[in-house]
Amino acid sequence: MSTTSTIVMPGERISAIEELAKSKRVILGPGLRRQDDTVVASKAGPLRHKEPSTFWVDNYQRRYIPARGDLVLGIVRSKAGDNYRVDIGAADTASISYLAFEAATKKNRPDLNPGDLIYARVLNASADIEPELVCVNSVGKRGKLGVLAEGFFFKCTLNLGRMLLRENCPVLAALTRELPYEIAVGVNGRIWLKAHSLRETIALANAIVALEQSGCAEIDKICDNLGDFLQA
Amino acid sequence: MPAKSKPRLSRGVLDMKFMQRTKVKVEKEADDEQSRALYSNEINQKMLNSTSNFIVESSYSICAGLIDGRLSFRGMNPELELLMEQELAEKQGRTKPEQPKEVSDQDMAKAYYANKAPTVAGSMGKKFSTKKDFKRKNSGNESGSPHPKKKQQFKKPRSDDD
Amino acid sequence: MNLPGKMDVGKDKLRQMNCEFNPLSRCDGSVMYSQGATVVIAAVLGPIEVKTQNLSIDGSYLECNYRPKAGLPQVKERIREAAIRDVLELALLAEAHPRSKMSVQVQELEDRGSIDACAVNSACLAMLVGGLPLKYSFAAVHCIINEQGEYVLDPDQSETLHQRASFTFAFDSVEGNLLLVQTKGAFKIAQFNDIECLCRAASAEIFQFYRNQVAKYHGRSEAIAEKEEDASMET
Repeated sequence: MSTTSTIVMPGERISAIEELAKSKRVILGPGLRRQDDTVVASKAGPLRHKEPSTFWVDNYQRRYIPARGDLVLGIVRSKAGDNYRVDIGAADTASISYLAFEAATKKNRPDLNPGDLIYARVLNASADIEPELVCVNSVGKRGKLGVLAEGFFFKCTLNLGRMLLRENCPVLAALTRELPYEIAVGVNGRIWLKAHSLRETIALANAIVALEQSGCAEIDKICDNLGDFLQA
Repeated sequence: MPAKSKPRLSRGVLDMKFMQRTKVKVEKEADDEQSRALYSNEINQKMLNSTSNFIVESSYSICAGLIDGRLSFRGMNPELELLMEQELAEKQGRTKPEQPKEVSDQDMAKAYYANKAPTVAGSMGKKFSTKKDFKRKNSGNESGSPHPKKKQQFKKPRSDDD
Repeated sequence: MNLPGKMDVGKDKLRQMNCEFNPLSRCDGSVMYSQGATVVIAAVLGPIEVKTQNLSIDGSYLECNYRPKAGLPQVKERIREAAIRDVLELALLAEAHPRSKMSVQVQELEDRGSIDACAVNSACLAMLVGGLPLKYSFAAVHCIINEQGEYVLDPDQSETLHQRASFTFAFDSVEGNLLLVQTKGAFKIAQFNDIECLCRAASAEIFQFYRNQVAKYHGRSEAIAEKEEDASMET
């Protein structure tokens, strides 16, 4: 991924993309919008580019905007008929059908209660309708999705969540050198963690929250701190 | 309505049982027609003909190629780690060329016949055997009684079944 | 009369601007913004759930609250609130999030002149850092005609004591269109035009300030990205 550090502001025309679009297809990500043949930014932040032709604005954000295909962490709020209402941190609560779980049938309902944490995929997201989640993949298998039991849950900015999920992000690998753990990071800025003991779990959570301020440039220092803390 | 010129199936015909599929199709067509008529003054020629080079993708995960956020390290959740390994293998399999075969096709065939051949040869051999062979074989091992003498019969259900 | 608040800055210059992003932790974006000695905090939430009575299916509902330094908002504050709301409504890309609410809160911390302009600018910065979709950013500039008939840009409170007229203009960042005009006092139309030009020129400085601040705020994460690139090169 090449990182261009041009800062764009709302309303700014991005003629570089317009030029590119004349010759080939261009993918416009979040923060960019098209007005006829012009491309205009709608958010403020660095413009990112991924080969061959994907562009988006990597702005600072805490509020999640649901998008199809995202993997998110949600809290079950209530049961409503054939659906569960799930809070995913967006403007609307999302819904998930009780049939959207592995091996679920009309008789054999999944055992979900208000307050449960689930890791799910956004199946449907549009500004006009409430988002819909699923906990199975296209062949009806659970895969990595489903209910997260025990562990520790906390919120962070969407930017931190996205940073942890970049393919070459060194953070998670560095942390596991200190101790074994299990993690679920949602792109909606929510993280669930589980290690062998409560003490270890909290220490890890603190380390990740600390990244919010320092960035992963200081991951080595944070890992050292973590190691010291665990030995103490 | 321009659709009037087209011949239409009557409702009586469409209500017949074997016409159900056609009925659905016809209904859909009528629906499309209606919605097109409804928006026809809103949609101009430019909207219909213009081809755009822009694709709008609102998901950061797809744009930035983010990985799945469910991970386990150092044996914390073996089930999950197995899945991660499989995914990794799949990814590498996609990039690497096909692995060289450890056993050649010929060796495989040889080994297969060495192990399985007796059964396969037996069943195939039966096809080519004559009636005489068959009789001789039967009389040879009469004691084994290859033909079960009882014929299948209808059994009355027991009254206390329910 | 000597004017301590503006001694160090010329009459045709804006006072020193400063801002700090996200001083508050529970909202989607917040900013503490100061122009000279005038300080405000603005916070945004959005898009969030909306009450059915305010629900609109073709755009988001915009809520704006202005709180004075002490006490409850009175008529003066309500007027200010309405002015901020009007500008925001023009700039907000409402159709991006139908059936939702955008909420903007502005808290006055210290009013030492140009509070109207300051509040509008802080609202814009909060929208930028909160990641709310905008058609353009906007900036407001305050200017007065003093006793001697001179134009004073972005005056301190002490300079406004014997003003003849006061103006607040807001401009958008793309075409420089006027979004808000507030005038008070007696003036000639030529003066009005002069001051509009003066304020327009000053707004460019504010837009540059916005850009610099956003760049600075993201500079942190830029450094991270570079570090990652290095890490991936090594492996």
